[in-house]
Amino acid sequence: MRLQSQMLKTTVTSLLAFIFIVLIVLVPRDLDLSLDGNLWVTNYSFDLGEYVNRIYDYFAQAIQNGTLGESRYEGQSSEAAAFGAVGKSLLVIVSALIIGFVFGILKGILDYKLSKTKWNVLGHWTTWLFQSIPDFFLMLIAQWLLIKHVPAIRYFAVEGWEAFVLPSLLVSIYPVFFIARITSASLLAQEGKLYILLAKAKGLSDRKVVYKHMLRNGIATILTHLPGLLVFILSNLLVVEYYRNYPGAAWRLFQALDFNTFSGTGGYYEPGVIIYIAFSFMVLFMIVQWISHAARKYFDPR
Amino acid sequence: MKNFPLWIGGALLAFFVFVMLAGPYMPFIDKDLNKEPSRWVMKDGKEKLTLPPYKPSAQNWLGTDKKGVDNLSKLVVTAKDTILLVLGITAVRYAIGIPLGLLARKKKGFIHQLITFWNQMCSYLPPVFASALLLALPFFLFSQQRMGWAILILASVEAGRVAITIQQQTYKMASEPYMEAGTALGLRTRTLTKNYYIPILFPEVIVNFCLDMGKVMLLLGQLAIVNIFLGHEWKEVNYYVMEFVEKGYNWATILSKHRSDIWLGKFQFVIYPAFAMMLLIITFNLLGEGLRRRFQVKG
Repeated sequence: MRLQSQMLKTTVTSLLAFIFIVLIVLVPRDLDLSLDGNLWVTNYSFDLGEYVNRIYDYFAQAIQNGTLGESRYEGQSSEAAAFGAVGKSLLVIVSALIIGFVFGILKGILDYKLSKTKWNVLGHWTTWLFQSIPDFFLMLIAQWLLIKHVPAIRYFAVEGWEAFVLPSLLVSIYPVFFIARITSASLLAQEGKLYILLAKAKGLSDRKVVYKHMLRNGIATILTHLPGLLVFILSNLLVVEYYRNYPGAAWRLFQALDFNTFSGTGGYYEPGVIIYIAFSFMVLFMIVQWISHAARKYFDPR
Repeated sequence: MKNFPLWIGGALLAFFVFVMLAGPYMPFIDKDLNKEPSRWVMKDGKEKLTLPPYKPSAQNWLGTDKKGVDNLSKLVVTAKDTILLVLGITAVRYAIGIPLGLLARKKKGFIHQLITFWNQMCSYLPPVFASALLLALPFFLFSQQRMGWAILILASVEAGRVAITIQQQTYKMASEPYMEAGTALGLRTRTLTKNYYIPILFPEVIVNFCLDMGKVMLLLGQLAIVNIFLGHEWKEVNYYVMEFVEKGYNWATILSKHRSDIWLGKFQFVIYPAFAMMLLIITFNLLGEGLRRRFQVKG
């Protein structure tokens, strides 16, 4: 029962967050421009009645037409644009989640084992360092290295193996170190506990103690951070797609915002596309949270 | 005890403070950021007229930009504004988070619901998406107090998380014997807060504050990459052409000015501000880690 109520709570919060985003997206963005002598002036005033009407009209029209309007490209609906972009990034997001989780745990175990030797610097400190480097700098260095020194790899490829492998690897760099830190912390916290001492007293090998006892106990803690991992992946995805000019979900979301420095929001503002992409992110987030809840229940039924 | 992170972090912080205060007055720094449209350079024994950008030399350690402004000077002159901005956002974030966390210390009531919801809502979208969505609203774009709003938005995006951390800490403290003793003695809430909660919370708060400074710098960098400024004014830049012109000059604006270079394979201008930001983030993370060891806060 607790699992179900937890899942329900997650779902409700995610839905509320999504509704909040829809409300922000639908805020009127038309500017009243007028000439004052020879100078353009604008007085933007927010009118609640107009705002409510706009939301009502938007959804009435959406229900009537069965679509949230066209995208900026003629003949393409918002749905097609948004889900097409999400589809391009989905594989990257999922593989980054898996790479981050699996290699993160392995790196965490490595850090833990190295902390017992004189190679400690290679363990915890590399993890710490990579966590401290901002993603926009790390990607910049990666891009510079690949473009200038490994011309055989087509960095800006939109199809072929590079289009999938490059972003997946770049996006999962940070998650690996994020999970590694949590893993090694949870392993360190279990040191000296009675069940570990008992397992060692029984003569089990170190490997067995770590994998069968410590990791099994720590995995519940690691799994609580799975949704946080997804947030990091999405924010890295933005930087990677932006640098590569790759029309994936994060890139398309910013294109749909149509932000420019002249009037703020341009004429190609696509509320439908933003809503659908935010919706896809919310669904992804919810699924990951459900997996995290269910797996925790399975590994740690206490 | 050897506390390397604290020593290195402290040294780096001292370096940044020095750059903030005395940097612009150093002899090799051009305080006024003068442009140099052309320059005579000796090449193969002949004097040749060259145009900017100039390559790194004894005169310009990191070279100059396309207008002939020294790159190093730009970073040094803007360091103060950048660091104060980061400090300001983080301070506002804690000014919102700490009182809310303290008010919700019993884990029930309206404020508890509020911060739980706030935290969960903001953890579903990455901070950069959430702040970009809010900062691009016309109301905030054309507001006279744009800078104030921007600081408030960036602060509140993660204020819920701060409040939750404080709440968990105080909740845990409430069941400790010394707190029960204080309550049994009949101390007022104000005295309890002043003499019990704040001194015990202080180490944890200061550690997290340092780490948050790093996070704010990261967020500013990410926003710069997508070309959203914090403080700007809508000005006429050409005949009948209005544009948002950034008011402040900090590392984020330098980064966003050169961001299109990324697609052209030119990295020299983007790398400098990004590197400065990374150094600042590492400084604060080192400080946080060092203080954590110093105060023995579990992380």
